[in-house]
Order: sequence, then structure tokens, then C-alpha cells
Amino acid sequence: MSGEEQQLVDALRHRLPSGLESLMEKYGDVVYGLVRRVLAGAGRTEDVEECVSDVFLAAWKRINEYDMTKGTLRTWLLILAKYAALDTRRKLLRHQVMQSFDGHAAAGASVEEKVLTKEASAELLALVHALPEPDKSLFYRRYFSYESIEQISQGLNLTVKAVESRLYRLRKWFKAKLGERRAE
Amino acid sequence: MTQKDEKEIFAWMDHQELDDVGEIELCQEEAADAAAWERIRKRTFSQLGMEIVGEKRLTEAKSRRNPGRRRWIAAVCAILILGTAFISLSPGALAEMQKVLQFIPGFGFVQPSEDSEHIAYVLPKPIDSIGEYGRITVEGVLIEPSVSQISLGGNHASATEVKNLVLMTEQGEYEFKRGSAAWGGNGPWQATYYYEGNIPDNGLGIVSIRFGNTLIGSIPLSKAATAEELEGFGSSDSKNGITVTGILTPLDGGTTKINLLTQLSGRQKVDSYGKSSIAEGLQLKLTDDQGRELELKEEKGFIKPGELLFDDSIGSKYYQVVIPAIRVIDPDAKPVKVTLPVPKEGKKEINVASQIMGFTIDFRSIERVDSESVRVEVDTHFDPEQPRTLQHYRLYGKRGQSAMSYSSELNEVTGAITEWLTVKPGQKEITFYIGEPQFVVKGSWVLSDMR
Repeated sequence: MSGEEQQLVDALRHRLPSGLESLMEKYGDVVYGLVRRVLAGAGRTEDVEECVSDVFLAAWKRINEYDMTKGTLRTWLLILAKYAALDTRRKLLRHQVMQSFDGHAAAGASVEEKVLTKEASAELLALVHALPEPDKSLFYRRYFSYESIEQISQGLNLTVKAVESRLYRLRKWFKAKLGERRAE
Repeated sequence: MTQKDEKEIFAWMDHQELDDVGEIELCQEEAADAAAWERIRKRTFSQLGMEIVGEKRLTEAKSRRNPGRRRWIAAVCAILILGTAFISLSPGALAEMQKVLQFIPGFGFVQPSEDSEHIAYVLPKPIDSIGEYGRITVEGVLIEPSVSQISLGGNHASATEVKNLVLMTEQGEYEFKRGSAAWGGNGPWQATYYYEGNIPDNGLGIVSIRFGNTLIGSIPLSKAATAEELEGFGSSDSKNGITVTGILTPLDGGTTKINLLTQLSGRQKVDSYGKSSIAEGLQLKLTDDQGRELELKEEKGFIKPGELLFDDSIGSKYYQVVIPAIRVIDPDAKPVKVTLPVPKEGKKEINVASQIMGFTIDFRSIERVDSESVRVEVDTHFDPEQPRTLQHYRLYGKRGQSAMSYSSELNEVTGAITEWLTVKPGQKEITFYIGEPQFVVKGSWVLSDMR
């Protein structure tokens, strides 16, 4: 963890509002972007803003749960953001007809997800985490942070076709691994 | 491989209990604008019980009032702490400041003549400096016999790490403690520093400030003007029991600033003077001596409802501001309890009436959208033709204290409000509180001949 992140964590743990303000300044844009992508098609700008605010409130309240040995503060914050955004999306979608987001699942676990054991799921996640680059980044950018093909293409400096092709192979690989675990 | 496969992965990933997603870089997309960040920041700190104050009036010292100058004192004896979040402030110092400070950043301090034996020194207009923490603006200085205050602002929030500053005069050095501070998401900051004790008034004409490793030198201070000297300065207009005063200050670099001030009761504050439209047609207008409309400069950092900044390359002799309406928030209004029946299913016309601050609110209908939420249609009878009309309010949970999870949609044309509230399956009633009414006061206030 960088010295700057350590200072941020210390400030938050000492309940210094300046720590929260610095956290918002440093990671506000990346949190906002993630929340906006997850809520696209489900919420309005106000919902996004409220959810972003909730993320930083959660960080303020739960900073003692942050374990630096598991990852950076930024990663922890992004995970909080993802959970908060999914929670908000579920609430919002109760109010409206289920909409699909750019071909994404609107909500709810698939049959496969429901029957997959927790252990099997964890194994699968470990396999995803062990993917070589750029596949690992590609997977997380697409399925964790909901980036579009174009955004991934720009971010990883790959052509759109290359991204589509790699994602195709990743989905095939994922389906095979999922099948193996279901069979177990 | 189909879209279904991709949906499966999204759904699976959404349900993982993640500890780590690796140190991946996410896409750099267009960030939220400054106004959005201001709203997010405001909401976040508000939820933590830290007050964000857009404009705050501090009580004037009545013992210093002279009835003959009441009009002026009424207009000027207000303190503007612009866009400041009071995050920490010594209660004793705040109380003392509330008694003695009558200070407008970048403008000055009104010195009642009967107190002329206690001369106050002020900074006539803000000055800029570049140093360790980027641009720092000395927004105001007030040296008084018992408590003195220095207000700074800048563009690099790390400057708020500086807890003390030193004022250097011919007579010595005086350490000021930080009282309040506010930070913006993209770097702007403001802070107020105070000194309790006497600073000799000899040699206060030119002073310096040491702020961290930055020396801000050659700061000219001048004796505060008396109320008599200020008679006729500025421009005021009264409508519907509210006086709005505009004070014009030329700044460096060809920019002009107008501070809008009001006197309201209690902790009421003006949420909007109409810099952005309050409702259809309710937006303020600034014109020059030829009647040409001038554009206000875009706000960067803190939103300051009562501050108008503009450039005038032609150089008008005077300016006019027309304010069709203002929106006022009253945080002291007692929250009102509301209980609505919750239908098992479908929509139910209820017509439950409630009142806050004398404004009637009708809850027209409630509809169970699903087992865990209801939609409520609310009529505040918003009518901008009325002298005062309710536009919005805030909802609270138990006893009007706790924040409540809800979403609200205001139709800015009709004034109708739709609330989305969370209920439990089988719940037959829902109770909440309404507070912090936001009401629109009709003008127009015409501040003319501002020079």
C-alpha cells in the first residue's frame, strides 16, 4: 500500500472528515464511473449520485473492515461500489419493467449460479483471478466493472475485434469450467 | 456462444463475495461535473451529521446597533461564509465570533461609530498568492480587539492539512488556529482561522501571513468603514417581507463580484437566488448600464448561491440585478408526522392532508408497486404567483431525526412530487416525517444602480 493510501486509511480510522474528503477526491471518478455503468438503464442521475454518496458513507463506516493484506484501498472501495450499485439496481428494478443493460443480465442469479456450490464458485473465481493478462483485466473490466467493448478496447489498447474475440474465448472457457464444477 | 452465456457470467460475477478484483485499471470516462460532486459531497457529509452551509447569517451584536443606521446594518451586518462545510469549530470561538464578527469576505466590516475607540482592521478586497499549496486567496481579514479572523481559500485541498497560520505585523507574530474548513471533491477549499486575544493596532497597515512554508506578504489592511461612510452604498430592495441587498466588489483581473445578502429569521437560509432556474421563468438577470444582459461566470468548486461573478470588458458604470424569486430552506421548521394507509395491491386514492409552516401538502394517492415499495403522489400546491409557496421538503424516519431511504421526483413544470418509499410485505401503514421545507418567495427584487 502506498504511503498516500496509508495516510488515507489512518485519517478515516481516526474519523477525520478530511480523510473522507480526500478519499472522494482521489477515487470519486472511478467510483462514479463504475456506479453509473451498473445503473445504466435502471436509474437516473440522482440515483447514481445517491449511490456514489452511499459508497463513501459505507467506506467511512466500515473502514475498520478494510484489510490491506487482501488488496488496495482502491480495490476495496470498488468492491463496495459494486455491491452498492447492485443493491441500488435491484431496488430500482422493482419499480420498473426489467430492462436489460447492453445485453447484461438485469438481476437475479441464473440456474447455474443457484446450483453451483459456494466452494465451486470460489474455485472458479480463483481460476478467473489466475488468468494471464490481458485476459484477466479483460474479464474484470467486462464482468465486474461493466465496461463496454469499446471502453475495454480503448483501455487495453486492443482493437474492438480483438476484444470481441478474446471475450468469446473467455466465455467458452468459463462455460467449460462452470460445467466441470456443476458435474462435480 | 450467445448473449445468454454473457448474462450468466454477469449474474455469476454479481453474486460473488469478492475480496479482491486485482489491480486492474478501469476505463477513464468523463467524470461527474462539479455540480454533481457538490451534491454528492453535500449529501455524504449531511448524512454524517456534518452540516453543509451554502450561506450562513450570524447574529449581529445588538448592543452595537444604532436605530438610525438600522437599514444599513440590516443589510451589511451579515456574515457570509460562502459554501463552507463546518467540519470542526471550537464552540467557544464560534459563539464569540457570532457576537462580534460582522464580516463579509472580500468586502469589509462595518464599524459602528460609537465603537470608534476600538478600531477594526480589514482586508479591502481578496488577494491571491501562489505557493506550496497552489493558489491561495486571502478572502478576508478582520482584526478586532478580542477575536480576529482570517479566511483563506484555494485550489489544492491538501492545504487544509495546515492547522495554524501566523499573522506577522510590525508588533509581533500571532498564531491563528483553524476554526472551520471545507474541501471540494476536485480540490477547492476554504478555511477560517481565528486568534483569541488582542493584536495591537499599531503597524497593521501592511501585514504578512505565514501559511505552512508559504509566505503571503504585503497584505494591505485598512480601517473598517463606519456605517455612516457606507450609507447609500450597495443596493437593496424589499418584497414580501424580505430585504435583499447586493454589494459589488471589483476584483483583480477585470472580474466583478456581487454578494447577495438577506436577513432571515432563525437558521433559515437562501438556497437559491435563481442563478439556476428555480422554476419556469424564475431566473435572475444581470444587466449593464445599457440594458445588455451579462453572463455569470461558471462556478468552479463550491456552489455559492449568493455570489455572482462576471466579467465586463466594456466597463459599465453601473449594474442591475433582477431576482424574480428566491428559494428559502428552513431547517428549524418542526417536522410533521404523516401516516398513510398502504394498500395490499394497486392504487388507492387517499387525499391525506398535512401542513408544514402553514403550507398544505396533500398526499393524493398511494400505489403498491410491489411487495416492498409504494409510490405516493404529492401535491404541494406550488404556485409561483403566490407570495410564498412550498416547492419541496425533506423526509425523515423515526421522530423526524433519522434520514430515510426514499427517492423523490419533482416535476418542475407542474410542481407535483412523486415519492418512492420502501415498505415491508404486508405492511398496512407507513409513517414518516416531513421537515426542512423549501419554499419559494416571490419578488421581484430589483437591485439597481449597483456600482
